[in-house]
Amino acid sequence: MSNMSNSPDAATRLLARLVRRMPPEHAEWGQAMLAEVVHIEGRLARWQFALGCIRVALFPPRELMLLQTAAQPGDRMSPQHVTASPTAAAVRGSLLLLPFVIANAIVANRIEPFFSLIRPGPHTSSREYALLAVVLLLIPLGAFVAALPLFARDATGARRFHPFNAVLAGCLLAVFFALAAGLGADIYRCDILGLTSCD
Amino acid sequence: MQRNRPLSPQAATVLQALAAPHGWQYGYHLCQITSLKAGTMYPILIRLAARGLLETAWEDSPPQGRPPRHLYRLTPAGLRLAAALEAAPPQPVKAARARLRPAWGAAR
Repeated sequence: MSNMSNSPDAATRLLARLVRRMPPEHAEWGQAMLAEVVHIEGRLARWQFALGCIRVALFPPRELMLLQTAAQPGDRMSPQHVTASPTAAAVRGSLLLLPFVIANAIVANRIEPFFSLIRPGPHTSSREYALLAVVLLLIPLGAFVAALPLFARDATGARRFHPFNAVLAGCLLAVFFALAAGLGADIYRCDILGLTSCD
Repeated sequence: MQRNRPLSPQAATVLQALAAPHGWQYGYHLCQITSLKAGTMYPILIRLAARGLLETAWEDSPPQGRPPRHLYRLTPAGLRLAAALEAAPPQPVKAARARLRPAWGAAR
């Protein structure tokens, strides 16, 4: 690793980029992992180590949310100081949109054997309504999860604005309302009014 | 609010590696002696630190041109837990977890 001191390689640069995006209260552990990577001899070993660190930077353990940078061992944390990682919150929030996308793809494309499980008969079943309600309600839950870092306080008790999380939460809510209105109108026309022109 | 999570076998391995009389240790060295990946090691170190079992510090005099490393050693509470682990006879994982649960609580 003789060239590491002057020109960091891709593993170091990638980890450094992620560490820079970590909230200040997580910075100590981010810097710790980054400093360690710089000291590792051998590209393969460095990449292996960096990949593990990247996973931690993206999905920090719950306990990291409870740590303050300046905390001494044994210090107790105040719940007001808990801050969620904005990146992890955004990823988790986005993932809650996936069940709707998957269920919708199954129904729209009649993918078997899943389609028969959702709709055993020729018409929309109560099981289908329940599944629709669940996967639809996961979307505003995803918005809430994505927006959590906006409400969290850091070690100084201040709130930080995370524009990406705010935009993502807004988009997820907009998607939810659009889908709920569209699907609700379809269900009302086709299943409640029983209009014959319904497809 | 911290969870009273039981000690995993990997965490016990890290605790025992840190209890060895090497003084301050750094992350990569711990990975090498425990054969754990960084993605497993750092969450364990973070959890141990959050429970007051691990003390952290930055290297005083790093090699020229390289950043100081983050160093780790057990606190007295961590050393007591490591000693308790060392003294206990090997047990199935479930039983060991049940036995260690009070120790996690006591360390907080």
